[in-house]
Amino acid sequence: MAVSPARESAGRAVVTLPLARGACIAGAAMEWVLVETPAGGWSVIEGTCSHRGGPLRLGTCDARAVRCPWHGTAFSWSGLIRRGAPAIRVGAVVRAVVPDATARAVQRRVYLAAPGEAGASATRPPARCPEPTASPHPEEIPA
Amino acid sequence: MNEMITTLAPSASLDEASIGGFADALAVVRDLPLFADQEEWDLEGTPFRRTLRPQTFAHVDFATPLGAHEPTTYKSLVANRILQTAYEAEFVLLPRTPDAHFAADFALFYAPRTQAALDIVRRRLEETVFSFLDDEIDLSGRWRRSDAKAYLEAYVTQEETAQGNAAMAAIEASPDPRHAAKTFLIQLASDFLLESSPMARTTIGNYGPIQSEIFKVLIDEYGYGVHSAKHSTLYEETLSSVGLSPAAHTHWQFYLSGSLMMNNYFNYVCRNPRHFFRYLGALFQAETGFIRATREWSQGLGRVFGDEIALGYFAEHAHIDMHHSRMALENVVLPAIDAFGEGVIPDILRGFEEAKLLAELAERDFCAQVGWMDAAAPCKRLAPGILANIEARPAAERPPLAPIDEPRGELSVMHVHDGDELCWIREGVMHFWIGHDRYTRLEAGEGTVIRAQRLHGAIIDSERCLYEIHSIGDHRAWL
Repeated sequence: MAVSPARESAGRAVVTLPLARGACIAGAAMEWVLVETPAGGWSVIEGTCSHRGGPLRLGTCDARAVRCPWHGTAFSWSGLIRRGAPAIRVGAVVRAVVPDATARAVQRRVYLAAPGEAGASATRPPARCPEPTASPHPEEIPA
Repeated sequence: MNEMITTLAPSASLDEASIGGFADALAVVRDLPLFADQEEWDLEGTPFRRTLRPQTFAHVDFATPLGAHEPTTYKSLVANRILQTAYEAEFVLLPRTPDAHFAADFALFYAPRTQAALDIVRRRLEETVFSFLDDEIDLSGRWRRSDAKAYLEAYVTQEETAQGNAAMAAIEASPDPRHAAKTFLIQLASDFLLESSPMARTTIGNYGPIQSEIFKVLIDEYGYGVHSAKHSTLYEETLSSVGLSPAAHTHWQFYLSGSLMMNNYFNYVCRNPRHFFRYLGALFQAETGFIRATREWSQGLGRVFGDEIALGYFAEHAHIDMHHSRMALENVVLPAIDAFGEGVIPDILRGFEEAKLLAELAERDFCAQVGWMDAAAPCKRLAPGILANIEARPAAERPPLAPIDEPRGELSVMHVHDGDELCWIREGVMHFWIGHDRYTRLEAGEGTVIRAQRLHGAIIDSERCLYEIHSIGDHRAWL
């Protein structure tokens, strides 16, 4: 096919996610999480805490910020959304571009609200989140 | 002939200023004889006469937009038929072999009053048909040029490695693959016989080097002024080779909603400069997606028709679109981002996804229609049992019933219903059309289930025919 060989997509991955709770992108050193924002929109936020690498998806949140479950580092929603991966939703599918060619879609336990969940809000308590089923990886949920 | 035009034009041109809002304009469209029900299945001598089933306009809620799951409803079919007519009233259409009505039809189709009415109707129907895309597609995050490039190139890579074509699979799995393939070619004819006319709208104006790059693609489509090389000419040869009409819109009634909607989308984004950047994304999608699609269509159609079919159109696209894909990305889309900023990326990507979504929708619609046509016998077998179950219920629990009495030759043009219906013949004979040149003969005491949102029509083949339409909603509830 007549496309120039030096594609900028090298070093990036376009990852397809379902518009559902637990939709994450696993990279070599980073993860991204599809979440519902407090305003009712959606975003693919960076899910790895910049402090010590904790999983933000297991953190707590309110209408202003998400807190890392490890040391309580707070990240404002506005900053998370601004730094979020560029992504496009078509119906119930989201495709995001992330700067990691090895990145892939995974299902993981997520305590933050997922887009479109009935009654979802950024303050959903972790106790209401579904528990993952058994998985070789302790945090991955088989599709 | 000129004398006829002079005679007819004044009466047709009066009162365009008196057309008020949408309802007035729709009434003008409704009353034009060009758009009345046809008395034949195919109309070869005129691109102007095309049934819109205007007698049903009053029963269609055009004010409420189509939902994402309503692309093949009756409203969609009618709205898309009207929309395509409105767009094409802005093109020069001339019949290959003018019929006796040419001068009058020409004058009326292009009369100021017709144009004014179609223009008003178009504006509303664009919202009716396409606003669901606002809900279906949105973006988040900051898109940089490199992200957009990676995203679009991922589609190229995907297309390079993907295999399988749902339309061809449906055709080849059909017990009547030749008929299914002809149905497919008819769907493509709705666009290909006027190929790139929407695109040509975008080449006028003044917007720098990418204008010339788009023009390079366009001149390929138009065969560099060599008529035999024009892509629409190549497609005419394809149609003729398998016994279909090469004249634009001879088979108008048999276009599916999905096919019409996809054509209309390209007119929609090309016609209005506000949507220009959406068009750029759609252009890249179409040129890239066509590489594999035309190759697989060519292979599939070749298996069905053998040497009989002229496949030059598909061979041309499978080759030239490799260049067009690259040209669209490297010479149009990316330079547009460079020139006009990353703020145009959302529209470009939206157009890309919209074109892909609508192409998939059209393909699903076609595959469903093949399934419907092949299910004629089972649908007929179900009818007696369903009728018995209806008649076993108290009158108050029965579905709505419409008794109809029609004379010989009465033609119900192709249409769809939103829910399942039962057609039952009480007296006479009906040819129940399930597709182009394909019908089920129904005699008194016979009937058929009409599946929801599947194109069908009928013609009476007895002095009179008394039949009933039971609006059963979901036929499974009456088994």
